[in-house]
Amino acid sequence: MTPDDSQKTSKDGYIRLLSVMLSGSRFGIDADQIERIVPPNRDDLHHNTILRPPFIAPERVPPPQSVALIVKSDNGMKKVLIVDSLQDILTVPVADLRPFPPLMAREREALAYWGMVLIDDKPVTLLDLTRWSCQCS
Amino acid sequence: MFPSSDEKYRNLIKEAQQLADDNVVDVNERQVQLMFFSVGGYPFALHGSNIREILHIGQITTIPGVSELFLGVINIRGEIDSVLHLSRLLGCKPFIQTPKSRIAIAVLDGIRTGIAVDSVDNIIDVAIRTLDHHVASLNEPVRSLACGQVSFENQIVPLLDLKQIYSRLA
Repeated sequence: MTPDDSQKTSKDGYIRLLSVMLSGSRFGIDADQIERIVPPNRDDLHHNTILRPPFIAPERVPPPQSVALIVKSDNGMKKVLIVDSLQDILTVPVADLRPFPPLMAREREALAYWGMVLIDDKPVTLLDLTRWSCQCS
Repeated sequence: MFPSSDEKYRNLIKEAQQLADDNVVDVNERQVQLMFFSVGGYPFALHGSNIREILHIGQITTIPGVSELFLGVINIRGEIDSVLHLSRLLGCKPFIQTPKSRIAIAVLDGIRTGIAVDSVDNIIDVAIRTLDHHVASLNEPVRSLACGQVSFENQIVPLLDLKQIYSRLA
């Protein structure tokens, strides 16, 4: 991302995505859904709801490079997703976003996958963290 | 008693005409294009009109939490399509990628998906009258996904119905 990219907004037809690794796969999360990114071992995090993706075993220990994403919330109830690593912050033209494959509709609904985008020609799943945190509550 | 020479030639000509008549192709006969392919070691067919293209298998990206009926997704010239694990849907042994493996891009009602197959064996036109629409002799789960059977290389091959396959996934 160049300094110029950081100035681009959704009004200009761009979206800022956090590129994160989770369970060995790369996901994209709309940066506007994130309040803060903090180390996962902070004591105050344990007072919040930790979001656990259904495809990750509960006993799995996050790797050392993991980070905690605090999801923006209107009601003060903070929810946190701990990801294996934060890879990048990308500014992507909205026109480059692709729909999630229609035959995978069940997964789209259950896992709050809202679309896909190609990063380095590789498909990356877009995760709606706001919807997911509502589903998990 | 042997036939006379004239009678022998008349019989030969008659036999030749009979052979020729048997091999005549009726150009007006209605035909349908079928793609014959193998999955899990078994032959199957799909209507060619449902197949947009056939690709060598590139990189398939898995998506966590997705049904085991999908191998993942692929990037096809900037579009992202699901890849159906058809062998699992048909109850065959799991798909194993080999140099002969292909992904057939199928389309029905505007909905696209890739289908991973062991090999694409042929794409040919067959006479519609040769399709057998009875599926009772097939075993489940193939029976509920088939709309008929067709003869191909001395085998009776289930003709799969893409609409049934899609409805199983929905």
